[in-house]
Amino acid sequence: MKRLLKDFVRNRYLYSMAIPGIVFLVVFSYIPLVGHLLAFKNFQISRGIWGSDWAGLDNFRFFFSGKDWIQVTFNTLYLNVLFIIFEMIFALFIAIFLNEIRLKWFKRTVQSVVFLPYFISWVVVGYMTFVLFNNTDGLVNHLLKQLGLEAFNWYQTPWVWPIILTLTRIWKSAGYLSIILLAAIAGLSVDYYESARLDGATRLQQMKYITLPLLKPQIIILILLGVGRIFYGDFGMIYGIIGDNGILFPTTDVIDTYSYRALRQLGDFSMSSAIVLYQSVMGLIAVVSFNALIRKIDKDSRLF
Amino acid sequence: MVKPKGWFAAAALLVLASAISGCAGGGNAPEASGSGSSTSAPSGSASSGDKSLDPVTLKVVVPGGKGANFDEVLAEVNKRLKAELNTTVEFTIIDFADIVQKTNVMLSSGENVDLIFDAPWLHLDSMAAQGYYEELTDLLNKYGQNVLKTRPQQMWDANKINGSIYGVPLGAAYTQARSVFIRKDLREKLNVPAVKTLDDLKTYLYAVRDKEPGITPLIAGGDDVTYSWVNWLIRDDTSVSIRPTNVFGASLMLYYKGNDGKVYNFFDTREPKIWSNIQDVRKLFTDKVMSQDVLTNKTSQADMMLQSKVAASPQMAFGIPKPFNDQLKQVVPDGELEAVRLFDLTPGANLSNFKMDNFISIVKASKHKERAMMFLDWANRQENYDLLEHGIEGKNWKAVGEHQYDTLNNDGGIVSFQLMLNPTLERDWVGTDEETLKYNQFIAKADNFQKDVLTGFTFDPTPVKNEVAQFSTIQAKYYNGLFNGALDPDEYFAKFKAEGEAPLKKIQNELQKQVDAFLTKQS
Repeated sequence: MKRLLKDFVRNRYLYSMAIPGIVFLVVFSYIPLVGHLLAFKNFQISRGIWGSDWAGLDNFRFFFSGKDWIQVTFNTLYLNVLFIIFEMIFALFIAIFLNEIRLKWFKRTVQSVVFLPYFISWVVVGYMTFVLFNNTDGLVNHLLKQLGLEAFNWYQTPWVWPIILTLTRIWKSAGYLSIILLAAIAGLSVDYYESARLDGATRLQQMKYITLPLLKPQIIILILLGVGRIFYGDFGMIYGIIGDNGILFPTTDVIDTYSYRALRQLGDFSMSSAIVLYQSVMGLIAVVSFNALIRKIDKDSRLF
Repeated sequence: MVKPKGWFAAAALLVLASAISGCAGGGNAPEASGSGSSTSAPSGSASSGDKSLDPVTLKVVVPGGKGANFDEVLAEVNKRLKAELNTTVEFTIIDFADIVQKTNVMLSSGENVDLIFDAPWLHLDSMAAQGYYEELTDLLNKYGQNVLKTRPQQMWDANKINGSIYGVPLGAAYTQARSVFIRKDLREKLNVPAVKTLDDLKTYLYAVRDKEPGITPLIAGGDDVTYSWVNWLIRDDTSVSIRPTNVFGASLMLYYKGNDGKVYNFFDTREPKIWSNIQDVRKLFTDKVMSQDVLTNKTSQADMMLQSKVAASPQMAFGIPKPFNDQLKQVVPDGELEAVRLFDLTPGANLSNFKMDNFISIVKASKHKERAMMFLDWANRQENYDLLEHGIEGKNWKAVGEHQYDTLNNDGGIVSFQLMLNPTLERDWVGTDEETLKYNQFIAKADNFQKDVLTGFTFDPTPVKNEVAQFSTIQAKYYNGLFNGALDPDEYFAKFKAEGEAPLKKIQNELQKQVDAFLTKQS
């Protein structure tokens, strides 16, 4: 304890740099934890959190008493797993590929181009997918017809949407992830590569035996971060692209869009808090179990 | 790690933040709230009007879009307000697509808002029941004489919620003006005679399909139940008088029929009128008359027509607004729209509960409730009403007689139905054709309607809120698809029924119980 205090005093400037981050975390992550209380209350704004009556588990009923919750939980999980895996694969490809480019201006240009989609809002992406896939004058169907193929009813075919959504997600965020990985690659010691070259390793072998293994901790952290949110559907994305098209719900409806639709008329905060609590608890379980799994495979890479 | 992601988390966070700030602010609240006549010394600017009033800035939240004259008109509004009430207003204008979520978050987070738009189709009843809105009777009597005067007593009586006034009813008619807009130029080009009935309309639609390959014949509302094709046709069918119960917006899954005070369940009755319309619209869809993108379409139906991509769509008006034809002409030089009115003009044929579609409410958390009412009163005076609705007189529009107006280059103010619309001060455009005027005047007269036995009744969803939430998600899967023809009724209605029957039955029973209690109390 005394040592810790002394350490604080000695490195006070270093530690003080962490203050903004800690404040942010407390305000936006820890205090809101109290909000989970709402899930067990009949919250009425005029009566406040403490003044509202307790509701027991009543707020969870609407979600769990039907059978759709299994479907939407599965969809959320399934889509997020697709997103995490494919984003990571593509991000790795982009990062390693960019790292191999020696022409500076070309590298920079490519980097910007793959990063750019990250800044486009989902609403705009929704319009873009509509322009591509709609049945009246969609570009994809137009192309199919020009190739002499049959037009396809995209917006009435549920099974194609997990694929389209994953592709959109890759297009939008793989570039962003690759930047993080690229920074990690840039930090790798040149010595490894030099000695590998001396031993006659090819470029491909260097990637496989040096870059990838050394990137493992970063990859695992990025995946863990993704797993922590695995029970949160991306509302902006799903609602922006699928909207209210009920035909596509079987494969695309996630917990967030589902509860939005359930509660948009009622505007009941306790019921939505119940869903958030459900998602948080499941997310916690997912993170802890994934971490345990990592611990089994490779003790040094675990997060905690 | 626990960073809130997704909008529910964010909303929960906002609630919490507001709860905290609410507690912190509690101590000195009374000081700030005494903005009424009782306040002591006026602050600063001696030049501004009423010296007994503190300077106040009111925050007003309404749906819609910003017109071209917005800034100019707002400046004039604030000039007048400053002089008379030492007040300025700030408008937050929210796109219709976002109004549900945004107002929801604003209210529940206790954001600093004084006046907010709400409606039965939004969340007026539930928000009022949860105590977000101020009861207005006292404020109206004290500061709102013009607000009271410009609306007939029937309107006030019918628009209470459990006997209390939680919003000023906004409307100039006792049912919504409605028709189907079609392209007159196309119709004439295709040699289709004037469209008077639904069958004529079909002739036109099929003619467009066959001879105008670049244009989709018809689009209805895939995201808004009110505009779904079946709902649209049922509304004008006075032979059955089917009306939505408004438990789920305009959904017809639970409906009233005639004037018998009974709640009908579409799963049980499979009401022949509704069912045949569902089958009809399915045919329109498979015949490619109805847009194949009706469920996913991202542009408003009106815009699609004005871009000449669609040849017919349901619209809430009896006649074509002038800007519509002007805009269409920029795309198709000889393009012209006309309205197909299927509304029944027989007096007494239509029922009305005199319920208005839109309301403006004073937020309970507001610190300037009195001033908000004074502002509403100000807005319900002819000269200010005109300014807000049409813009600056002599520049944007000019008065023609007492009840009409004409546009001068670009007419248009800030708001209308979102803030002050009433039957007394509303002006008709001087160029409105006589037919349209006839319809408009018909629906503005209360006596033309048979009084709905449930006038004044509002449903409290709290006892069945789990079922309401559940059924909302089930309905979202099937309703718009079935009622716009995109889903095959033979296959999907059975699925819909299998999933939705149990919760809907419970809601029906609860609604019927409340209706019965209401009717017993009436008699």
